[in-house]
Amino acid sequence: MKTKMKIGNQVRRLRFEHGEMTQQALAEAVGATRQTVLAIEAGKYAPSLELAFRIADAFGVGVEAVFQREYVG
Amino acid sequence: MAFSYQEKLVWGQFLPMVLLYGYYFARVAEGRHGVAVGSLVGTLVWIAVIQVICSILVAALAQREPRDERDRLIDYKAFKLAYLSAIFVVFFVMWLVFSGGQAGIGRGMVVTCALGVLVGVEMLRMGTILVLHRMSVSA
Repeated sequence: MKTKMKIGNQVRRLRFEHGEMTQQALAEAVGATRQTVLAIEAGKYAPSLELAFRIADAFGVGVEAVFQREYVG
Repeated sequence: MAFSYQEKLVWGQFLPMVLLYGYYFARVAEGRHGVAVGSLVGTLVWIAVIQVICSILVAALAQREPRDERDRLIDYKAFKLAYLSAIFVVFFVMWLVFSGGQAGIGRGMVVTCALGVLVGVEMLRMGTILVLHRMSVSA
């Protein structure tokens, strides 16, 4: 049976480690809306590869430090 | 509950449609004016005017945010759902007509039903956008 994969992320932790960066500031840095950053943090939206790389660049880390695969079931 | 710029814009389009088309169809259902062209055109003009006013107000008062990939994905999903629903309804109506269900249905009723389908599909599209903005969405 195929295992379901979920994309987890460390966006919230990374924001606070970067001077308590606001969702709005991150959204502006990566060219997205605050609503999208909020949805990503809540695990309600898996961003495209391009946006994922832009978020990683905004924190100065690799994309794997921001997003992780989580297997469910 | 904070609304995003895009949500505010959609609410500004959605609410006038619900209220004015609701009023129009309620009057048609009561048999007050059938499908008089004048009242339909009047309704369309009022909807357009109120939607433009709402858009101007949102643009002036809310903080502007450009559409991003999530907004485009939500639009795509809502459009797909509305379009597929329209196809289903059109085929259902065709089946009704070809199976003899058209007896007693006048031109006025056909026009009202066609308008009802268009309005229903557009409301479904906007409603889906509003719901998906609050829910989990994936490609």
